[in-house]
Amino acid sequence: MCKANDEKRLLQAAECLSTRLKSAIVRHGQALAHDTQELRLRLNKPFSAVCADEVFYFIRAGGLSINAEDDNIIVTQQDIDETLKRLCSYSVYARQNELNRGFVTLAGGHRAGVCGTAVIERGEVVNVRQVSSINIRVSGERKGCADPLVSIGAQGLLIAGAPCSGKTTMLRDLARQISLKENIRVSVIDERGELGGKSGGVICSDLGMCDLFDGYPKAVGIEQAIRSMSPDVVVCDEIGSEEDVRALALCACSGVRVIATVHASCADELRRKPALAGALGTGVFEHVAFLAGRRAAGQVTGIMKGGDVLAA
Amino acid sequence: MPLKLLGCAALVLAGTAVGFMKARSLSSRRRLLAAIGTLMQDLATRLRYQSEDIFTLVTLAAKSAGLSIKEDADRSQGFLAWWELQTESFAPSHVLHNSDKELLSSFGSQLGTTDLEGQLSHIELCRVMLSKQLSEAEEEQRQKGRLYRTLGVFGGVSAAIMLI
Repeated sequence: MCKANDEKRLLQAAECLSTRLKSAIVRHGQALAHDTQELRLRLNKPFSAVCADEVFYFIRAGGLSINAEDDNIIVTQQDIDETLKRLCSYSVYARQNELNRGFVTLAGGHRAGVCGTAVIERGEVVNVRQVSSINIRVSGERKGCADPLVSIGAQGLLIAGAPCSGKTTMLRDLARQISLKENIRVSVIDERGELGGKSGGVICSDLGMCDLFDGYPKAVGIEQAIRSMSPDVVVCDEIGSEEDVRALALCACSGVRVIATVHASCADELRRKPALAGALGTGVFEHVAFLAGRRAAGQVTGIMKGGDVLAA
Repeated sequence: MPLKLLGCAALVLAGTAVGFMKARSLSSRRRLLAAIGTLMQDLATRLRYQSEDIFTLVTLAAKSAGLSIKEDADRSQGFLAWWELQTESFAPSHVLHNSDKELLSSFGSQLGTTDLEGQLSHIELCRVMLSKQLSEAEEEQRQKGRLYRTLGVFGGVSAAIMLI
């Protein structure tokens, strides 16, 4: 059942690929479903699927290889152009802000990172042209993966891990599980649409009984959630800016706990981020959980008290 | 004799009908081009103020321009294929000239592929080209419309005289 769901999610993420690349994924869907974290398109380079332990390349005649060779499917300009159009639902103008920020969120919470040549105006990226790489991050849904954190989640928890360590997948499951517990109201602030994976007004991921603030900037969403939904717990992904920390401070003095994620693989890295040190100082995070890296995504390697991280 | 008279009347009527139909096809082209101009203008406005996808915006703009659109048309093959399907539906090929069809095709080919500024520039360019075609269609209707109607009536009358 889980494998079927993984395959479904992989195919859902592959929907945005050009017809040629999509058919390669469809051919190997079953083999790749469980482990695939990313689908990578680099102009004039082999098309690849990045799994936890290996990178697989697609052979033109069919089959997979772990080595980049001459007979691999090579990503052409046409593949990039077609994929980009599909990513944007053939409406680039409507996703321009997301493209300028470097990523587009897809139905199902998958995220496509885009890079090319930036067009700068007054110091800001106003357009991206000549796109040369697209990285589609396959969003996972692993029910039960947050079991080790459920008992401490509602007290305020910061989940720290390196990229691709399964932070968002764990956060989604944790929000779902906590919201299903009695008398715990959870508001999810989903700035980038990855947690709810909302598409056409329908929440594609199972978020249990959570209230979803989709597309709200974190600081605005947190403030509105506290005012309008009277949450016990606020959940948000990838905090880091000063503005986020100010919003967390608001939670701390409103009796609302926060579950959030952050890019940091150890306590040392956390301490080196001044804004996060400030967030830990507010006492809004009772615990900090550290995840293993890409190779063991979703595995909790350690849990510390929020105060201890600062003191260490 | 009554049969001959009936035949004459039929010939006059048929000639007149052909003339009027031909004249009407000229006005159909003008009306269709004017409606496409409205679609372009409406689409530009919607692009500025609505962040819906291009399929939705074109559907809404076409409706407001009074053009018939196939709402259940397949979108999976991309916008261009969808647009070709729609143009076949609201712009029958016998009404438009080849240059009109080329303009419609080039209009659809760039929709949704660039940022907002690019979209608005593209629409403006197509509107300028369309206004030339529209003026040409109006001129053609003015000059040839009356000619076709007159030719139709006189053709019918001439045929009737020959029959007598």
